[in-house]
Amino acid sequence: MIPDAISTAVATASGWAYWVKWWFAPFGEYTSPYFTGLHKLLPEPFFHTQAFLAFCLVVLAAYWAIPRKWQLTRIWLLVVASFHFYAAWSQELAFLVTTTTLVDYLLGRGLDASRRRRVRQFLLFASVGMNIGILCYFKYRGFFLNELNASLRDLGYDPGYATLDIKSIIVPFGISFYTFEAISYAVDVYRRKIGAERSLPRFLLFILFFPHLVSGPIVRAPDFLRQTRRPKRWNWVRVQVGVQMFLMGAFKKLAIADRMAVFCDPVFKEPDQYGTGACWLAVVAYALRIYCDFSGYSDMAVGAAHLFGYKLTANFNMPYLAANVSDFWRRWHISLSTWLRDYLYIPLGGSRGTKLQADRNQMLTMLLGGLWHGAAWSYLLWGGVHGLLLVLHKHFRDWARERPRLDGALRSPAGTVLRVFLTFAAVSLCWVLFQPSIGKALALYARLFSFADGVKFLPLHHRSLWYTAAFVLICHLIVSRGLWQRAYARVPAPVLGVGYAACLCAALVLAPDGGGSFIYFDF
Amino acid sequence: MNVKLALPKWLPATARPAARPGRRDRRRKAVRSLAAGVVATAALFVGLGVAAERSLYVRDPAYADKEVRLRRLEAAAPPGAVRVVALGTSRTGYGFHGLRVGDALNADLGRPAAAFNFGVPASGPVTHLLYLRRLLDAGHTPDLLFVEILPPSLAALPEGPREQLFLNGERLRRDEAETAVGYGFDADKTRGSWRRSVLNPWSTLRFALVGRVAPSFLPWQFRQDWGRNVDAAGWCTPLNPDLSPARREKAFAQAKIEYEGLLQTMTVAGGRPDAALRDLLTLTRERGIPVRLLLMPESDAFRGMYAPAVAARLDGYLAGVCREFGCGLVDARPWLPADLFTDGHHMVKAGAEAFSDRLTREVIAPFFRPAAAP
Repeated sequence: MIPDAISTAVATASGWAYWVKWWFAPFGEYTSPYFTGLHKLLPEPFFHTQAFLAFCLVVLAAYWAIPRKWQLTRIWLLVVASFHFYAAWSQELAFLVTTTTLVDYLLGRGLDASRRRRVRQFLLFASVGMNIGILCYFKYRGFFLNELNASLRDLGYDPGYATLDIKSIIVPFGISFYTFEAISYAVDVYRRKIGAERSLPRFLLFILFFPHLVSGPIVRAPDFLRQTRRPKRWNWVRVQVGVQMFLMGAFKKLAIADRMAVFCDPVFKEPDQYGTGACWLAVVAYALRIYCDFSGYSDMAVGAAHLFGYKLTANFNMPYLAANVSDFWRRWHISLSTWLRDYLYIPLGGSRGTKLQADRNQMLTMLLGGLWHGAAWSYLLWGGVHGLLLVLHKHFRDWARERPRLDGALRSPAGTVLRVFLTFAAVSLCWVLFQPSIGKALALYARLFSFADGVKFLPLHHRSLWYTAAFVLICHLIVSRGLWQRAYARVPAPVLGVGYAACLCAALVLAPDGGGSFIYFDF
Repeated sequence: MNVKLALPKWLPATARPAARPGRRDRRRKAVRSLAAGVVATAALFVGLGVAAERSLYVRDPAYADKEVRLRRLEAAAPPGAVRVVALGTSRTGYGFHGLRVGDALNADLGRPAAAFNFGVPASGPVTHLLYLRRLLDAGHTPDLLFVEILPPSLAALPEGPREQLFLNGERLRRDEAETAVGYGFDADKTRGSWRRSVLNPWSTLRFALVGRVAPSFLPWQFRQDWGRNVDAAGWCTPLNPDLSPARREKAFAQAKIEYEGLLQTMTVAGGRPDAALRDLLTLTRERGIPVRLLLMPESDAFRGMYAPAVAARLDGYLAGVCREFGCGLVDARPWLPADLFTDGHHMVKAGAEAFSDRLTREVIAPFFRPAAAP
């Protein structure tokens, strides 16, 4: 009975998968010379490349050349440019994203128009089901089917299907991001929080806008669609902000994240080959790398959007200055954590109910948040550990509040520094799990908590790591104390301009090699 | 517990925001700062591009750092001192102990002497020719020039000289890049690399620049500050003098991977490296610089990698070149035992001393002795 039920479930899932494959097959099989040429011009949708810079400048020139009163033409231009930006990497997946966006648009219109509860529920289910289904098909099917296969074999059953080669499955860039945007839109329309967007180009732009398409920030429909209605004027202040954020993001990515990758990547790949000291350095380097990689990308995305007159959600707020894990999640990947809060944690019951129920909701939210990052046990465990830390912190906070002396000590400057350090250490140790292989993560933990010699040396002198860490810390302190904002207002314009040029040159000079992909592009 | 961050008091407190400037002021400041940014970026790019084309100190640290030392050594030497330069690869870099050679020559000849090690890793005949031209242009004319022959670098390969893997266009001036292309370097790659070094110098020359300011910021494979870690006469102290047999074996295995294939099959005559070597010897003949071709020491195991046919071809080729150009050949390959190498062909300190002493005694000093003069 059990294998029959499982086989039926797998067959159903496979049926869905085959349907998706069949539907999009013509796009995949037909490789147009146009898209092939496009791919040569813009091989990957990375922001820190000269190809992207050229693409962005061309689109920018065309966008602002269109008269202001032709706002819809400008929007169409951005939609077409965004489609090409994605299609240059993969034409079939660009068609997939566009098609699902069109379906979401139609379902949204239907949700808005219908007054019957059953119909609205069905439409909501259809929209969420389609988005989650496609996400599962591309991102999770390999993981789930392989785990199921292994479990059935362990129990002595024949699964009736072969394991999948996960590495051969191409996951569309940004699928987790735009799926969440589409789901939040459908839910908001269902809740009558917003009306369905009537303009197709505006809705397409909401999902496809190239600065946030591949790696967020996860934008909310009310914030973004409102902006599409305002006619855009060329604004020098906004352009300055955009350029500044783009440069800052490029510096974080090239000069810090890629540099730190030189430290941590070899160690995370082969932890058994390195000594305990090298492993600890790699953990610190990875913490810096992932922050500068993702926040650098987000800064570039926000900066690029500013150049077109759009404001995206801020995604980071100096997360490594967080004094506890709750604070960390208010500062890290803000657009995701607020999404999870609004569309998962609160619908699950949030902090209402008993303490146990609140803890359960917290754990479930973080487990799913972990799974969102990747289809592997390690990501699930990463989310679980963070959930556990959040629950523990909540209980400790309540316990400490009843002890004024302890509470006072923890709030003192020394106590705060200690809390920041402990939070950073806990978060950094959790990052070890933030990789597809749980075996390698456990091997790295084993090295960290033993005294082992290595047979390989770090490829970079550790001085580079400490200088970078000190630089990041100083920058955090300067910004958090408002010194940067004060200086920014007072620094003469030419000095600021020279600063931009210096920032660009420093980013180029300190880039260790050709520059890699962004970590969050894998999600 | 309140999660609001309370930072230490010693940090300056958050300032009260200054009066917000008006819209026009903000606009003016934005325009000015962006314009200044564009001008400064252009100035920085053009400035470095021009500097790179004019100064090898920016473009090719491997050469320039050694050239600076050579100039200092020559300036410090009294007038009439004999000047010996050894142009070669990392084998020469680790093996030719210039200060020791200079002292020994001084004692032997009773004349002041300055010997300099111009060994640069991963070089070959094309690099040596270009470096010699630069040295001559800079006014360095040695009384005796050693040119190391690294046999694999002479291989006539269909894709061009092997050294093009290391001598990128960004290390060359425009005319040098064209010369390299003439000797079989990949034209698109070499010219493209040179072009990028002019148009986008901050990215293309970043390893050279960082290596100059903060070498430890670079992974070892990208470091170009080889010439900085050498003594006053250009000799590079081996990094790890105490090698265990296991490490030595591992290093030799790596050398084997790198060279064995070539040493089993390579041909020399008619290749582009051969043409470069001949042009180098022609240049020295025109300038009247005495030359000795030098085959650096190799361990027995390393020499075992040569196929007999390759060894015979190489010997015949070198004999022919020496005959044609009237230069001597010093075959130092069997001079040292295996334990004086790190990997079968790079010497440890004791090896460098033994080799330099013997080279001075048997080749350099006799060359300068009055009795040896024609």
